[in-house]
Amino acid sequence: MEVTQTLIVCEKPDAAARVARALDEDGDPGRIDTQGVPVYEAHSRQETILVCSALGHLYAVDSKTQASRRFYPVWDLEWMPKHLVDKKSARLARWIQVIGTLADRADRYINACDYDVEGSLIGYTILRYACHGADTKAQRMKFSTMTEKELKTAYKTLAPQLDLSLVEAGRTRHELDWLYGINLSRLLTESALKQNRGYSTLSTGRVQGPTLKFVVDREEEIRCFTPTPFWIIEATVTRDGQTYALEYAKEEISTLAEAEQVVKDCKESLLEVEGAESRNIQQSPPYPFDLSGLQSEAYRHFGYTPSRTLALGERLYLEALISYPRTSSQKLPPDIGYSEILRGISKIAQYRTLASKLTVQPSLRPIQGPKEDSAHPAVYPTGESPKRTLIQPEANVLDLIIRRFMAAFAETSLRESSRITLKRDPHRFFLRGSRILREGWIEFYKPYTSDDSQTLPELKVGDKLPLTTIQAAQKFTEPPPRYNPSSLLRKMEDENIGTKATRAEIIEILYRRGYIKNIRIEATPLALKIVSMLDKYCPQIIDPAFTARLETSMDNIQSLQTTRSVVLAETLDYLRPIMLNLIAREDEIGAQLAEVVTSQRIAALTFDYSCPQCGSRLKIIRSRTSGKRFIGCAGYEKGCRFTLPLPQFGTLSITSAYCKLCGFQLVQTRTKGRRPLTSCARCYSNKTMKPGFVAATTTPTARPRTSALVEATSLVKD
Amino acid sequence: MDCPDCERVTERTEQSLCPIQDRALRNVRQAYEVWATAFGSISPTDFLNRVAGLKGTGRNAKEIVEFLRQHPERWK
Repeated sequence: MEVTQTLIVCEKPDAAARVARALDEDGDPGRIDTQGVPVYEAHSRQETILVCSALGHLYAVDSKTQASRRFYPVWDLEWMPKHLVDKKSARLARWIQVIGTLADRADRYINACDYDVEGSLIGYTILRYACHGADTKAQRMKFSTMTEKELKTAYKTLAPQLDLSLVEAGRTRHELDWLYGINLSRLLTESALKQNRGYSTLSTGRVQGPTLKFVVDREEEIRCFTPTPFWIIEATVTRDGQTYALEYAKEEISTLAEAEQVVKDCKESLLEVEGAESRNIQQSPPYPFDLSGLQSEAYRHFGYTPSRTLALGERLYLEALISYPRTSSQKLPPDIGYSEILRGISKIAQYRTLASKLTVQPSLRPIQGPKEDSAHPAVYPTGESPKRTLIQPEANVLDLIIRRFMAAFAETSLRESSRITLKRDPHRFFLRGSRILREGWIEFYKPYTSDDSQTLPELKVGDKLPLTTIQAAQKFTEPPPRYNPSSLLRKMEDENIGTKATRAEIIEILYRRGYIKNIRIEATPLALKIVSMLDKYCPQIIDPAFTARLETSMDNIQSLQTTRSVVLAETLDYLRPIMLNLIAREDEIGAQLAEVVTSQRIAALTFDYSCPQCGSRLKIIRSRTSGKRFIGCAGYEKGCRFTLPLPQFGTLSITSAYCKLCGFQLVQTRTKGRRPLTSCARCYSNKTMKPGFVAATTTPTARPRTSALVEATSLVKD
Repeated sequence: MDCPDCERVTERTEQSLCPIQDRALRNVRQAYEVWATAFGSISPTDFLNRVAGLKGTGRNAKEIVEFLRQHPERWK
């Protein structure tokens, strides 16, 4: 009997291992390492299944011509192996070579990358370019969880061909982003570089520009904000030894005279109960998680940035603990098997009691949100128990997902909301209270719900009670809140810019480029400059409405209402005149950018904390002779020899936080693959020195001559 | 007045302020109207002194407040 050779392409090595395990007869596929590239060999009666993986995209868009990487504008593009486009991706060459060799031996090809635009495109480019045109005969394997059962079912019910509408939408997105990004970013970077004031990577893009504009608009609003006064009436009554805060009928009073009149009228008076009302409020369970819902909730409860939550979610997905997290659906269809999942959850000790309450229900019907995603359901737990001890952040996100899933099946909660009205004519005060009558879904979603229950005293109409305290408190209006990574992501979603898969990464890029800083996001001077220039010379580039229209065009490609070539042609017609206009003003743009890049670079190396010995500014300095970096004083010329040590490895940045012990400004060190280290150089210098630091000293001999010092401008960089 | 902090395009408006400071000036003036109504009356000097010390006053608004303290003739 002839044995068929099937080649399955997955998106990541972990996914390949899991697919191979699910499809192997014995659940124990062989692993072959070729040039460090893992390939799994699974066997069934009539076929040998080779499962290989990508490492994300193996192909990328690049210029068709071999012009310099600094040249712009560029309009001709083609798909190229990523290792030829990006030096950092050199190892991908081996991946392409190994997959190409496997393809030569295969009779059948399957794309088993994640079922979304990116996954479809990753599989397509590999099958088309590495597998020598196998895209035309390849099949598509679709699944939302990596459980053995679902993978087996997906393999038995393969789609006969690739999902070409998703592929086309993906290609268009990458090509559009490249056209925008490469042209505008090269223009910004090169025009600044031509001013001979040092290199700095500057970028903008189709999504990056409008996102940055949101931050800058908010920044300007905050910077120009002028508070105005208003007053609130703070009053209390006492009943049975318990003090209750009253709410004045008018929430805010705009004049001092009116506020003082209220106090004068009511001071030391008796309030009479005018009425009491209560009503019951039913509260439905929260919708099942789509990705942004999960990111928002994880930020709220654990402080995880959206990109971190996505990374944690992907890890849980690859371990078959949750469904595919990059979804925009808030719906849980019945075919995911509610009962089976809940039975699985009930095997985990901490959820046993809660899950059992649901499994005994005669019918299970979860609440469904309005958002849909044709490719995947909402994020849900698979019901499988972790096979290893999860690290705390993984466990937190999994707990959140499990509890949200269980809450979706629970009944509504019932809350009694009460209000007692007290009068001292013509003034009215309210006493508000609430209590939970039926917990419903709240029981399942604890501790991620807040309990604001407040009991009220027993009072009936006509009762009188004295006002214990009353005062008019002066307040001031406050500026709008800064965005945080979660609220900025929500804003992008509301404005329909970017995709669920890319938004978190765009925010990370803004941080890396030095356009934004801090968790409560502040726009840097560089961001203000770039947005003001783009706003002046080409406002369309940062117009969220235009980017949103492009997103709609790409959705239309997916739904076959338009084509890739039409959208690309329209974009080129639009972008060309903008670029030509910008190129004509290159010198003007470059001069302004170079100025702010330089000042930001200097600011990034200068501490706000002054030298404790002479009061001059402290700076990060690199010794020209030893190459070591340390904190030195700008008053060196005047004889100040104050220095402090710094870590010698990683990228340094000066934070806006201060040491709780000594008050010195903290420094953060970022090293690839490690958590950022925030430390106090001053406290460190008072302890025993560890390797990796330059010892602090105040002796003149320990510090090189001024001529041997350079400001460490290269230390704080992307 | 220079715009050392706001980093906006150094294009001057008729008030010789850059666009963001011009916006801050408008905000400060509007706020004064609200303050005057709220307190019955308040002198520009008192208003500027109080606004300068408030936590919620933005950076550019503070610059404008300082500018107006030094150039009271620009208040009109």
